[in-house]
Parts: sequence; structure tokens; C-alpha cells
Amino acid sequence: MIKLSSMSLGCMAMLGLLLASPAHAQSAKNKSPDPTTPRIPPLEQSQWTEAQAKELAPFKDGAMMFGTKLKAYNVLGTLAQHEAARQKFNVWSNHVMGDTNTLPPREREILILRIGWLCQAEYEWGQHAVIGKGVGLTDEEIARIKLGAEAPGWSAHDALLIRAADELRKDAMISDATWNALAKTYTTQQMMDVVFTVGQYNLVSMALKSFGVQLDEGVKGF
Amino acid sequence: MKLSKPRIPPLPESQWSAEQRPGFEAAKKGKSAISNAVVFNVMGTLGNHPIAAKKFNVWAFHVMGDTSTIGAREREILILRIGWLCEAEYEWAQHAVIGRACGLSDAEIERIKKGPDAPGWSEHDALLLRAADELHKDACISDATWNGLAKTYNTQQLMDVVFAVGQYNLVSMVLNSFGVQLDEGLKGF
Repeated sequence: MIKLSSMSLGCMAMLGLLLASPAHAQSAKNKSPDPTTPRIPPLEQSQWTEAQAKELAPFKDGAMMFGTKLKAYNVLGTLAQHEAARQKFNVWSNHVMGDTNTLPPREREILILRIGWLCQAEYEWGQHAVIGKGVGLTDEEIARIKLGAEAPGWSAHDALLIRAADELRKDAMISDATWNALAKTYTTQQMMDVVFTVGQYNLVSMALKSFGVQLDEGVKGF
Repeated sequence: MKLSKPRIPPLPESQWSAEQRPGFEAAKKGKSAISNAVVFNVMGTLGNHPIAAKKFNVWAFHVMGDTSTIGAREREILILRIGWLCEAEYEWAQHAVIGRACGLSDAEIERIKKGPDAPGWSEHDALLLRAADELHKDACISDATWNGLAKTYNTQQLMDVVFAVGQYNLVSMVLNSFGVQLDEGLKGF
């Protein structure tokens, strides 16, 4: 009896996992697995310029970024392989993650975690689970982001954010229903920042996965 | 077009700031830094969020400017392919003009819609199209495509492939969701 119920619990957990897997991941049986070693490794310390050393070194052990102490050397060091790109990227990236983004940080992190999950970008998930917790998401909410907008427990507004990310990944467009509902409470600039945030972290997911950026030490993945 | 009218219309002239005016006037006349086509509808729409637009442009001009390390023709193949996959007609129309100016023939631009397996591509061009397809579908370039490109591309060029596709996937999301309409004189798909 006990054995049976634990078996059915196991089945339910497996079903949950299947349901939680994004459609893209399920349909991608033929694709090669994500790189487990970097294709582009972080820049060697011996190659840092003075300016890079100042910016990069603190993130090896953890430094304050976006209001949270983060170990993020593997991504920052990888981007440093293309310094001119990194500098310009940071300007835009600091709009999305900084105080010119008009979305509340908790809502921004729901969007980022959802697009990171849909893209199966484990590095993004690992970092933004930490950042999300720092801006008010609970462990339970972070786990529930994997289950999507229909999972019980979301406010109508949170569910709309998740749906916006899903639609942008699938159709590169927010549907009328989701747009109109979000626009009931969001200003024009907030509507724009929803798309900017998802688009930026879709790009970041592509970079992390294609460059093979590995989790920093001590950062938990999915 | 996915939408027949804008959800977010371009900023009306009466609301342009002094800082925005020169860029918007150039965009209306087809005299912007990136194109000789009229590009006002996208720039004017982004102008509704001036501080975001300002920071966005810094990064956008990496991808479209001279710090990107891939050839302009190759960049435009990537941009047109991701615009096609995202059904972003505005992006397609603008970059068909830019692509032609960078050396793509009309036949090549048309063939981008058919994808990497259409007859006529060089091996390298087909790899670029495949990279865009894989990033669109899996958010990751496969080993085969990566290793194929890495035979001729250096580290920065490989990074710029991903940046170009990622950036124009973002731009497609923006154009489609905000409902940016074709500027006068532009031809869609």
C-alpha cells in the first residue's frame, strides 16, 4: 500500500516534470545537448586589462550587483572576450536591470525567470533565482514559474506576465488578450519594458547557452 | 503585418524633445546613420520611452555599427532570417533595403525565406541561416553549426553571430508587439 502510493507519487512527480518542460525542450529531441564545457571560456586573468580587472575580479568571490551579492564571473568574464561589445551591451543591460526600467523588480524577475526557463538557460535561472529572492519572490513562487501561468496560486497580474513571456518566445508577439489586460494597469513605458525585458533575456539565454557559460561555484541550477 | 494599426504609436511631433528632434527628422527623411530608407515609425515608437531608447541605441549600434566583427552582408543574412522566422515584416522591409546596400542580391534576399537547404547558398551562408534557425528554435547553436562556423570565424565573430540574432529577435518582439507600421515607400514580405 505504502509502496503503491509512493509509486503513484513518483508518477505524479514525473508527470509534473513533463508538464513543466517547455514545448521547445520537448520537441527538440534531435538537437545536440547544451555544451557542458565552455565553447568560449571566460577571459584568463593574465589577459585582463586594468579596467577589466577592476570590474571583473570582485565577481569571482561575489560582489553586489542588482541589490544582491552575486558570483557572476563566468558570464562577465566570457563577455570580456569581446570588450567593445561588452561595454555597449552593459549600457542597455543596465536599462533592463537598472532604475530606468519602469517595472517593479519582482515583476521584472518573473519575466526573466520565465524566459530563462522557456529557453532552458540554466545559468540565467541560477543567477536570477538569487536576484528574484532578493526582490521579494518566494522559493515556492520561483519553483512555480516553471509550471507556468495556469499553475494555481498566481495573481491575475502575475499570470499575465508569465503569459506575455510565453507568447513572446513562441510568436515573437504579445497577444491582444494579454496586451489589453496588462495595459489596464501598466503605462505605455511599462508595456515597452515588458517586451524589452523578455527580449533582452531571450538574447542573454542564447548567449549563455551558445557560449557554454557554466554555473559559477556555489550557484544552484534548475 | 501582424497588426494593422499601432498599439503604441510613434511620438507625435508636438511631444519631441530638443534632444530627440535631430534624430527623428533624419529618420523621417531617410538620412539616418544606418539606412537611406525612412525609419521613423520604429524610432518614433521607441521615442515614447526616451531613456530606454537612448541606452538601447548604444547596444543597437554595436550590432549594426563598426564594433561588430562580422561582415555587413553576413550580418544582414542573420537579421533577415530571424526577422522572417519571427514574422516581423517591418524588420524584413527595412533590412531588405539595408541588405541590398550591403551586397545581397534580390534573389538572395528572396531565398533567405526558404532557409539553409535551398539550393544556391555557399556553405558559409547556409551555416549562418542554420545558426539563426537553431537560436530561434532552441536558443542555442548546435555543435555541428558552431564547429562549422568556427573554421573561419574567430571568437569575437562567433559572439557577434549570437548577438545579431538575439538583438533582432528582440527587435522583432518589439515591432510585432508595439504594432509598428511600415514607413512610407517600404515593401513588406
